[in-house]
Amino acid sequence: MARMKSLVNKDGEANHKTVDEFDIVIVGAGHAGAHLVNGLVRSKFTGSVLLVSDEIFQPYHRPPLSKEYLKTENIKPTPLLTGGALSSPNVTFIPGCRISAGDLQAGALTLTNGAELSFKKLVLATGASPRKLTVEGSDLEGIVSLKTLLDAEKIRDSLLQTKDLVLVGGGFINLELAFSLAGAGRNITVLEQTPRLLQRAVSPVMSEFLKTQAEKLGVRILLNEEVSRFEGDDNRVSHVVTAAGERFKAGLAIVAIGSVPESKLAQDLGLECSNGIIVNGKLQAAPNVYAVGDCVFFPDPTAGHSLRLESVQNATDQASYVAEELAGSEQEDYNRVPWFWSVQGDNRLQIAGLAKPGTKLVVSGDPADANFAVYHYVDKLLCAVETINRPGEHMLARKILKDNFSPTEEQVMQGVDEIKAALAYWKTKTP
Amino acid sequence: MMINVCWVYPDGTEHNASVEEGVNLMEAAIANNIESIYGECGGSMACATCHVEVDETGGIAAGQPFAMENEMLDMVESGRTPTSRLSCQLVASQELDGIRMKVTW
Repeated sequence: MARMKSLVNKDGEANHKTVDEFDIVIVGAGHAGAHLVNGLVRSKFTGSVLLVSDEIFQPYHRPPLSKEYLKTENIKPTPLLTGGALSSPNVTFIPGCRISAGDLQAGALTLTNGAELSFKKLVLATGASPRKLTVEGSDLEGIVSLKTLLDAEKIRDSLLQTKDLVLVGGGFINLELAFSLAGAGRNITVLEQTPRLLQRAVSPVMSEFLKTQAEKLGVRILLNEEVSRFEGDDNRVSHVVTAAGERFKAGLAIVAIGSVPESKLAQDLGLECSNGIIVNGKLQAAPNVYAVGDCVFFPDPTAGHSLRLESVQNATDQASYVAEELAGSEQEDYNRVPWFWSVQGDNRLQIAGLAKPGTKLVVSGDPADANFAVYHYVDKLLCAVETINRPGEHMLARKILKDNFSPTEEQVMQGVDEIKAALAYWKTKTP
Repeated sequence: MMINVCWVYPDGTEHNASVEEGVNLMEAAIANNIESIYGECGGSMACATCHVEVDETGGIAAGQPFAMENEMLDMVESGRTPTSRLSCQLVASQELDGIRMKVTW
């Protein structure tokens, strides 16, 4: 924060009790909040911007926390803010602080450090937090969830003490962790409650592929296993016990069973929330309030309902959209093709679009070669494409989903060049 | 050790920076506020928002893209050139001292 002016002194107390006025206040400095600041700076926004973070660090990229960050010594977090954002005189950053009270009508906020301020526009980028497992013993030491740099530090420290890891939940984060940490004499067990890994996010063929790959590295994956309690030794976790009564030795248990949106502040401010902060097509929760990122329940432009997405793409695209809104641009409602990536050991999983339950699946390539794509269709309409180690095909999938083009099964099976040709031909036919 | 790096905008303006060895040139661009280099994925080769075209006239070669990078480059929005690279895959080293990269938008 060297070059950023700060409203707090070394003791964390507000420098003065006068009301500071800001054109824009952004609450939350994850990917969405930080990217919004970058967007405002890039669009030469001249108003005053305040970024408030409940973390003590400069905003940083989160995806490496489950991978490189745990594997590499002396690694520094990758900063999210551009040099321009860090040095802009009209941008202020307050770390280690939350909003304690506010009044939307008056445009007033009070921070936990006692500072009082006013805003013209408020942007909530409060994110999501790991869902808690509330079973006996879940408050023992050595049971962690991974969201922040401090969480990653805890995991790093524990890895020096133990080789016995139990990962509760078979979703993206725990699988990334399993691949990152496999080897080095560690015993890693993944306990997943449902009949397959990543059940809500990917096709069965993808679930099976990732399971096979993880098992090749010696990771033990157990499905249909519900955790019923943790046992401890001297207040530190020693075993994870399943409903079936099996006990797994654990010096470290990592719980990753999904996330819940951080919408408490929005609720306290009187905003409507369900599965996240409810916004309209312009990502507004109220006339002077926007919400972006993991915390947002927004209208799905391709369907008649709203949804919440947890991804870097969703955070950055929504932040870019709101940066344009705040700069006064006339825009259509928010509408971007969702995409997602996850590095699972040596394999790069990418998803374009939204997979829905009950889609027809077309698989191109052979999972045994660790190079394949899964196309999801609703009737004859393409809605999502999963790829393993095919980044070019992923980029193409994003393009054709944006254009609302659906290649036939035959075209998909013939490969990328055929799909590109079909897209080009289709474009000449479509006004 | 630091090396000199130059980004050239479409209008010909040059933006120079001194970059520490070992830092990838996408991160260097973010730190130096280079327009149209976004690096949304943090260097995971997932987004292709750090595309540059290496200007080889000064004698510094673009080098061969990695296999995954190669596939991504085929699909970049601004169009691939023979010296296209994803700058997250270029790491500052003595060999790259004086590198010039065209930025497109």
